[in-house]
Amino acid sequence: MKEVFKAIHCNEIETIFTRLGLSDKFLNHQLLCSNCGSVITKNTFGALTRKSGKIILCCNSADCYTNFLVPTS
Amino acid sequence: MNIIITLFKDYGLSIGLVALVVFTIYYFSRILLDEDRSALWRARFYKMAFSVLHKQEHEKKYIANDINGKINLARRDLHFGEEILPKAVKVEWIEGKNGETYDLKEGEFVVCLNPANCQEMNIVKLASAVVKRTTLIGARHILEKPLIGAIDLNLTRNLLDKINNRKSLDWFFAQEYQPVIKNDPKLSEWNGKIATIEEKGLFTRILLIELTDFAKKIAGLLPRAFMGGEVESLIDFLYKIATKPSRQPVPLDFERAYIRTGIMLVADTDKMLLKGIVPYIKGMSCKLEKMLNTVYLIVFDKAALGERDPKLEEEFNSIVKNLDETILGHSLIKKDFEVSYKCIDSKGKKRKAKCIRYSIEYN
Repeated sequence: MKEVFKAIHCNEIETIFTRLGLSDKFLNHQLLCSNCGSVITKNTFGALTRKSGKIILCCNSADCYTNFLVPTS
Repeated sequence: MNIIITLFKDYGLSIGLVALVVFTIYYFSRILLDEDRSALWRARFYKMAFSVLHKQEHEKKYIANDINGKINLARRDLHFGEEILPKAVKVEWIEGKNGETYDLKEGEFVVCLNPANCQEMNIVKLASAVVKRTTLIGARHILEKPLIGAIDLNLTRNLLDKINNRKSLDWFFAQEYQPVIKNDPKLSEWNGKIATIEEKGLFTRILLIELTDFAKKIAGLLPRAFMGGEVESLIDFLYKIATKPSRQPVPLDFERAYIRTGIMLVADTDKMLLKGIVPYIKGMSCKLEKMLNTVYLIVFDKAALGERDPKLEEEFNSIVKNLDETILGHSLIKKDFEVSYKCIDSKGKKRKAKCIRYSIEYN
């Protein structure tokens, strides 16, 4: 069994937000890091996932990224 | 390869060529049959293609194959126990065009990866991710955050060390390890202990294995305060052994509700040579009486003795072998693994050692 990570290239961030229907929020600086609350930009996007139906994001700071990845048991 | 050169010299061109062909077939079939090694070759190919053609599809294939190959090969060297920790990783790019919607499944993670010229950052990102998401599942919620953070940091460091990419390791130390240690005194304290345990070679070979077994035992149980305390005590127990001055006794048995393990250290050459295996067999019997579930036999290499007196070194090694066979002669005991490794001894010198894990199943 492998742990699969879906990946996007940092040059294609806008594409994934458009495909997830988050384009407007992204352009209006309404996407926030679920850990530190900072605004997600093209240069600060780290990862995203779906939790309880809701899409949540984190920025690329080491602290936020590592907290974001911890599985909830 | 030396054998082939010898064959060329001794038997001439034809035999040498046959040997070369056989070696080449063996070498390439080994790569082809090994998913991770072949991923590394694919990565090299796409890296070259990208440097010539500058196409993003080549860059993406390089990034994904390089991460998959490097992390998965490195984790195999961290074997021990029944399963390899952390799990194997697979990076898959999200493909598709702008107009198509993407259905993000519950729990699915999408990570943002950097361009190929920042591959060391991508490797660290994924190494850290796979450690956090696949190790000690079931025990994470009962351990305090600084402790689990210190375990993750040390396992990620181990994984990156095995990858043997200095740039990745430097980036990890500068961007992840040091900032976390600096900002969290509690984590720093746990990290100090775990790093010392790791220096003695007891982190991946004992601590992590016992914690994985512990996580399996408590899976599904209501979290209790003593569970976390048990893990903390185990770390203190191993830390005392790791920092033990030569010939000074420290507790070598750990008896708690879920973790019941013991250590047998074969460090004293004279004791082994003069008294043989009897004291160690007696020690093993005591551990059986205490109903310990696992016992680790740690034997330090006697290279210095070998230089002085090779015969004595041989005798020492044969006594150790006899000890292992005698222990395995007991009907309740089975050997889980035997690994050789390098560690740093109490005098700060690099030393070879051997760790054997026995598990005991009581009727």
